[in-house]
Amino acid sequence: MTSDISAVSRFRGHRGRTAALGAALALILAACASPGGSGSGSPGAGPPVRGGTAYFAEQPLTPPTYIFPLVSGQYFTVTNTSDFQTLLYRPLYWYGDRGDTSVDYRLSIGNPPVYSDGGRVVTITLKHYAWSDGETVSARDVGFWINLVKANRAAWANYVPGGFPDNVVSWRAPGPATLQLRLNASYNPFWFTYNELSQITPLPIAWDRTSLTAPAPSPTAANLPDTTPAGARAVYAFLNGQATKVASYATSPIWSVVDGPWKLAGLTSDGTATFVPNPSYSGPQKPHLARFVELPFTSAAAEFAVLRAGQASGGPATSGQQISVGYVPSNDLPQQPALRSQGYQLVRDVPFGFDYLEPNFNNPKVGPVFRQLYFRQAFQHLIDQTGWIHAYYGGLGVPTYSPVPAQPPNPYANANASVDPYPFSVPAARALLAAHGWTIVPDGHSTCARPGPAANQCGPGIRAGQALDFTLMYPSGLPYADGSMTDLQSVARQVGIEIALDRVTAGTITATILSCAPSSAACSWELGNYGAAWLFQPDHYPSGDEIFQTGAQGNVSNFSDPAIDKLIIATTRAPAAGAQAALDAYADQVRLQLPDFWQPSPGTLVTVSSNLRGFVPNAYDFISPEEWYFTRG
Amino acid sequence: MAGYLLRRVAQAAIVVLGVTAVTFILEHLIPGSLARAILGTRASAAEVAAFNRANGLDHPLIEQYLVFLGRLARGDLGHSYRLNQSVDSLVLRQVPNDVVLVGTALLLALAIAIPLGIMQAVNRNRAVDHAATSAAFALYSMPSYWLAILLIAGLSIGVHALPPEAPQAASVGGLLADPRALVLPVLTLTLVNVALFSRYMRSSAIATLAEDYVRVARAKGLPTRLVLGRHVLRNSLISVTTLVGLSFPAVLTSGLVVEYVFNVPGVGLTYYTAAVNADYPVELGITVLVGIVTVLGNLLADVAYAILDPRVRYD
Repeated sequence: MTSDISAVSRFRGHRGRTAALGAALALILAACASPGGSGSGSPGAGPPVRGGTAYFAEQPLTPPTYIFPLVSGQYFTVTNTSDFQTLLYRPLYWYGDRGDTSVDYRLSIGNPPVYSDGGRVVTITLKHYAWSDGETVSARDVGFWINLVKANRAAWANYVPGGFPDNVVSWRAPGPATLQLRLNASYNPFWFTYNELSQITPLPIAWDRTSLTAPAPSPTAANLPDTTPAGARAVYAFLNGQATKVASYATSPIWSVVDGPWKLAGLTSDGTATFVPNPSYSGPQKPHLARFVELPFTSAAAEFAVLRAGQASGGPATSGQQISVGYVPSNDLPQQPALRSQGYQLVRDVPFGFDYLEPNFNNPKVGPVFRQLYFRQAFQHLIDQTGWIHAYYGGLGVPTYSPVPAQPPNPYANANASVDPYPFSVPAARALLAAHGWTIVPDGHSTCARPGPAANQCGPGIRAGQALDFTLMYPSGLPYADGSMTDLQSVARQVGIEIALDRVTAGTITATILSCAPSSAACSWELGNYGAAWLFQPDHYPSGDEIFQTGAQGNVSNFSDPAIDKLIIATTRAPAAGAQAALDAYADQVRLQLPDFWQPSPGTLVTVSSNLRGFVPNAYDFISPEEWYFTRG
Repeated sequence: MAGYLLRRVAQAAIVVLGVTAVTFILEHLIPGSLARAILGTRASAAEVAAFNRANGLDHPLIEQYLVFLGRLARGDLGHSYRLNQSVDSLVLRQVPNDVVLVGTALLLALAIAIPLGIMQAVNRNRAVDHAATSAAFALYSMPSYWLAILLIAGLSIGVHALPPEAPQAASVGGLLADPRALVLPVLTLTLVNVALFSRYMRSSAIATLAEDYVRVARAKGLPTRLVLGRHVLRNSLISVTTLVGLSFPAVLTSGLVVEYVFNVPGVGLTYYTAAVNADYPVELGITVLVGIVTVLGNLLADVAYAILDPRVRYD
């Protein structure tokens, strides 16, 4: 897989060289596409050509279904947000800068935010962007977003109590292109920029209405509906209602007002989305392609069949079945040589996040066991991350050693993030358990022989004779999860831990693995594996306030540690100068305390047409087809 | 006959109602939070409450069921939690595709299996019978998923003769406009059905050939073609008719594998996905539809018996 990473880097380097040697068109295209030299390329690639249709494979059975950027959890999918809405409606800031995790200010509407008054005031100036109805993207449009979100928190997937917009006391627009937010406290400016400003998408004032028959309002009009909570709720209800008419998205007078590089030309009921360049797009990167089409698939197998049977090259001169940017299902990773021989470029994509198994600290039976640090350490020693990546993840995954992961490259992870504090070692696990009063019975049931709270005893709440038996719930249909969980079951038996594997649907996992009170029936789950990593999106700063803080929405394991809570709060409140130190302190503590069990984050292998350039995986799964272009030959 | 049909329709309504009740109750017995399953673990308590309120999930179960029945009576199957479209429009869009794919395969399979079964019966225990039996066993024992993958590997990836996916058109006209792309999905379903139908037809024809009236027909010098066409075919079709009747609901559901492999969004796959993702309105809507089609298929089979065998009367 290292070769895949180096392939991306190599393409970048040759991108600049092609531009230098090419014709005038090549110069223009290359310069527009990627000033920083991003994108894929290969030795001997022909000169860039304008036009052509790029086909993008949607994930199986997840067609675009919701266009309004203020999206509820019901429709909060990568397909709807990162692959669909952001092509039409640009977020205030674009996250993921040519493969890394930073803000890409080049593609952002906002200039870098300026923090003042001890971090309590944020001033954002906007670049010149225009809506397709001729209006300018203004601070008022950002205020429209804030007003809608404030009045409709319960309808917004990204709402976190206490977070945005609760922490915004007020907003004002001192000028058409200047916005000031007054916050309710001093926040870490990195945290606020990456976790809170990341939520904002300016909305056109043309949407600030409650019926289609009313004329589109003027941005300078006073007393627009969104300025009162009741009015903002009515506007949301109207827009949400319009968003249920999926078949009319392309022709809707509401949804056709865009500021992104693309306009929606069509969306079929099955999920084929066709985009054409927005002729009035005023941003920095105009599309080179004539069309961009997202293709729906009923299964990864169907997508792969088209990849294998279709053409590996595209562009204006080609026709027939092709997928310009697709993916290799994990089952089919061994077919990489065949794909390469077809001509596809293969690019490894690892989104910014980490993966873990979720123990239920509140489960009446096994919670007392999970609350013992020595047990969590022993259990972590049984997880063979490197072996799993090689055996079950097709070499694409990355190990998780810290909640601030080392991969993909990012400015937050410290050196410890690359060091496994509890490397795979059955003897180490056995020694830890034995030292704390457990009688080890390999291939049997280890039991607690020395109950009690002392350092050499099993721990509070654990009965004499209690066995180490757990039920581990994980989703079906994921070969890497099948392999790794079966391996864990097998390895655990060597120290007398019995893990019953419960293979269920993804829906069952999400509905069952929830935070719970110990006495409630909902707390019967013991150990869970979502089969998907915790990704830093839509909050891009790797602080733990949404997953490890006591009572956080994502803290379904019911973990609670006051010391870690303090460290987490520090990551959100530290001044800029102390932000990295606060993040280091939090990460170093959590990686050792094991509020969950670290396992590898799965990666994906992206296929790119042999002559498509400009594609770079985004750390947060956004796509920028306006940067893609075909080359001749 | 009219009275019989009326009775059957009334029975069908009761059966469909029972199916909806059982499905509705079973869905709500699934442990865990439906709202969380739909909204995800990061959903706030306020968002969960809003979802429950908006979808009537905060009302007692019986009230929810009655609301569902009320909407059903008005022809409203509900709105998908995931797909942001009405279940009616979803089903109306996908059923024609399924009918084209599975219906074509069914007709082709019958067109092949019926003469094949009779031919095997006539040539019982000869080489041609053994060959056809072996082929039928091989096809019947082969999972349709595997067969589909083999066909794609050989004909699409191997020799690039046919596309690996069905036509990606949203309409029946669009589907039919690309017949090359229909070949592999239809062939997959046809081969599996031929294996099934031909075995039934062979057994039935063997039994019919031993009947006295067939011997009499032959004894009086009726040509073999007429014996087979008039006496053997018609009487042997009764068992196959039962199978075809039972296959009606399969038009909606047996295409699941083909839909999965050949990239055709159809009712079977939509139902499966809805079940996995706790999309209850879609599950219930399709259950009602399949219930109706099942009852209808059996009704049509009963009527067909009467046509094929004049001795059968429903009074």
